[in-house]
Amino acid sequence: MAEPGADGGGGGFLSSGSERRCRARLAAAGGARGAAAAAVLVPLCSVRGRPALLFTLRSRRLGGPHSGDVSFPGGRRDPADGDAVATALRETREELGLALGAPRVWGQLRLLPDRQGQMVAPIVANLGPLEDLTLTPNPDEVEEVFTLPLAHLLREENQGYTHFRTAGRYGYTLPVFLNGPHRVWGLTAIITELTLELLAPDRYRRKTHVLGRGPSARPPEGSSA
Amino acid sequence: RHEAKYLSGISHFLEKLAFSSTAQFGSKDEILLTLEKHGGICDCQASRDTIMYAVSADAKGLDTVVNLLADVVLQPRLSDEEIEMTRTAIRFELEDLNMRPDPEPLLTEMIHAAAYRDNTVGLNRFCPVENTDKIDREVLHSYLRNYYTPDRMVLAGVGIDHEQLVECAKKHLLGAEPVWGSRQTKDVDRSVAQYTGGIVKVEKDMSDVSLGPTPIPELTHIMIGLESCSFLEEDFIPFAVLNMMMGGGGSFSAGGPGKGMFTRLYLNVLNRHHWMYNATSYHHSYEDTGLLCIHASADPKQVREMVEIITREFILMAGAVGEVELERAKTQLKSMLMMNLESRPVIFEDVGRQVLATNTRKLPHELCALIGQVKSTDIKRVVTKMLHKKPAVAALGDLTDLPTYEHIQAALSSK
Repeated sequence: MAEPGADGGGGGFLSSGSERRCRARLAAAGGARGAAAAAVLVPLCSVRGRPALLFTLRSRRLGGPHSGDVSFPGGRRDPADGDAVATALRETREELGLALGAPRVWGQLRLLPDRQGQMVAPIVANLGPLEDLTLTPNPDEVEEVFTLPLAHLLREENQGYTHFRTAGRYGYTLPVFLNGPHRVWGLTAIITELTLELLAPDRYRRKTHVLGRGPSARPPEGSSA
Repeated sequence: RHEAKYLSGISHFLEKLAFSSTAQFGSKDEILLTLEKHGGICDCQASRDTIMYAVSADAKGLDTVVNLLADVVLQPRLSDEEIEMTRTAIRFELEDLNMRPDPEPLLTEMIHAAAYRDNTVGLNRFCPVENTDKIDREVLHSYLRNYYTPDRMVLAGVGIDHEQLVECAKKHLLGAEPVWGSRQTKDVDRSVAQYTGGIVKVEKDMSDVSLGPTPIPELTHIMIGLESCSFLEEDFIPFAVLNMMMGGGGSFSAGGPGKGMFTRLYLNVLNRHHWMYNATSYHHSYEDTGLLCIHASADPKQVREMVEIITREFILMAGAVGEVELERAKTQLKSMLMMNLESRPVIFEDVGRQVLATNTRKLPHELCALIGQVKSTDIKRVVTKMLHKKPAVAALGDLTDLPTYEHIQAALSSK
């Protein structure tokens, strides 16, 4: 899908060339595959021609530790799901009323632990132009849907980080994305970061860091990610 | 809030060590004597995001005062003896905090720890008792090197000619070398405060907290808070008005004009439920986040009811706001603002904080104008946004009947 230059030189993230590169990189990554307890969809799309990421604001009615948080569509794996991709697509259908075809999926980023220590598989997919889609968000699960242009996320002034302590000493650092309709933090921010690295490897500086492991490590299980 | 990669308690130490011996002044007494010549006093106050070194003196002593401040901030000796004395002072303060019947400071620590788990403003403002022995001059210097840098400091003055202050600053601060050397700062923590929500509980026997012969009834204290917004955002003013509108205080409180006896927490809570000892609203605000919370206390057997009442008050904030009560809250806020700014120390704290955060200062009349513009729709809007967040809960005392966090969370998201 050819893209007009979205931010003066930053465009083309959703072009066919970029897609090929990303698919190849995701396939080659291999690494931590295996059974994940849950999966989320990382929805790339274009809004008025500009590449963006789609986020949801989870409904408060769900209760629980993720109530009201900014998130990607996704959830627990169902026994009927063939794989993580199936989980992500099913959840997207249930939460947003969007039936996404498997060919839209570019691949899977590495498995990440959520706050409860469950492994989550982030599935990257391209929804295409948002204007061409009809989303019917399920109000029981999704309060709001919003997008953030990749150009916005790649600008340094919209990026931040937070150092966290574990058991009284410095433990880890998580990224946070600012100045949008809602703040993106926690696991969703980590996944966003991985996606930005995938799409624009020279243009994004990773913030996630875990003490005692190299900068390429992920936060420990049970962290407040 | 910058102590994530350091030992908690450094700022507490710095606060207690302020105005001790420096390169030019051999001891605290010398400093106090010098100030005495100009009818002056000095003080240092640390808060969750700033530390303030303040001196009030005769205007003629300006040069001496700026010299003193520069020396105190940049050239403290931090002798072993002083550090040892500070350790004792801090241990005493911690004991006092735990002993006093008024749980306010403890609850404030707890609600911040609950709201901002393990990060920035949720970190300890008071040195944890286990760290008192671990902090020494090395540790302090490692922190000072990174955080006492020109780009993080503001020199503010009230009742002085601006040009004169600048002259003195040039003389005593420009090019001044700090005692810890001026190596390149690295790894300065610019963490964004991350609101997490959560609960912090401290079971404590409060049956005998009175320090004197008169017994104080046993109370369980709870504080429920939600994220508001930073003082840099426009919504800060509506939150301030909301805080004023909720008001509240102790139930055994003598009223008076402007006291706030018509605020919601008095009218709806304390006046109707005579068993509630306290219901007070607080608003803490920082450069990247804010916290609106309500403190309530009652007999341990009535904790359930108390929590219900407070959560209901939060929900009602999103409902209809009467015109009279809104105007009253706005007027109260404006008067409080103006009355506080009659005090010079408050003015220079205001100047310092505003310039640190925004590089400018909004004048009182500008703030009053902004307060005047707040409408009930603004209140509704900011409350709706606030109620979306997960609650932060702090509970202190006999907690046997305390509802679970999930219960409180559900209560706040019901319509």
